[in-house]
Amino acid sequence: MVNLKQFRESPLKGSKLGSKSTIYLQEKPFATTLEIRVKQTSGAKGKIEKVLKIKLPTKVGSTFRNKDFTVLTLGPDWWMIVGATTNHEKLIRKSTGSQFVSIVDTSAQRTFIEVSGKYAQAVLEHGWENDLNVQNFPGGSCAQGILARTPVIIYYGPIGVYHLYVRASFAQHLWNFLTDAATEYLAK
Amino acid sequence: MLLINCPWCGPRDETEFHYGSEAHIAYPEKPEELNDEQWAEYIFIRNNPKGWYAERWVHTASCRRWFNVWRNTINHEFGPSYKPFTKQPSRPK
Repeated sequence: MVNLKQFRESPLKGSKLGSKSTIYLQEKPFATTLEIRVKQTSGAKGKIEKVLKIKLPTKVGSTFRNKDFTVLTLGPDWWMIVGATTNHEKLIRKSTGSQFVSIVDTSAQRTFIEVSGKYAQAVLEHGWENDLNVQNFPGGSCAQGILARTPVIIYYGPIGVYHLYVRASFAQHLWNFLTDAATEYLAK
Repeated sequence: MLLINCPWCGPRDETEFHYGSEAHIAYPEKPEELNDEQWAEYIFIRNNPKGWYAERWVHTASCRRWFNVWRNTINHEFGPSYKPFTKQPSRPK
């Protein structure tokens, strides 16, 4: 059987720019994402937690991370699981049965840009309107908002790296914005 | 730009939100019994106070949730915001 993976192409074709000592941008394509919508008070939430073997974080903007996947809390009843597997999706579907839950595989919807280096925060602040200071946006936070007029999810990993989740069709536009914003820091 | 306090996400810029007009307008209990005038009143007629106004906003760019908030129509000062179906905080002074 032909391995279809060899034909897939990411929106930015794995672009890279800069160096870790100043600012480093890199596309990290093809992560599997599952979006889950379930009421906090629903019994189905417990069943999902049992399948994932974790507790879903309740506060919007908080995250959970283990070695397999990262859970981002996007809304009071809305979670995105990055790095989940199609097996997770099947198991959740099976365990929740006919209960009022939505599980959608949105892997192909977004691509991922990693922003790291000494000036990562400064580059993002050229367009991100919310506070990125550590007091208000500590490691392990996530936020949805507008960056360069594009809907973006920012996840600030505990290792001090920003992950940007952007729709595939907006990826090139966001990349152009980021490379433009990064220009002045590249030479530092 | 206005800084609006989303009950779930915290203070965010106005560009992330959409406006939803006056809050606490209940859907008619028996819509089939309303005449055209009453129906138009329910759909279109809103208070237009000078001062504090309880209104709806939706956080379109982030949590996609509707909520209510007190806003002063004279100076755009924001009062407390609160989740739908919760007790309305008293009118700010």
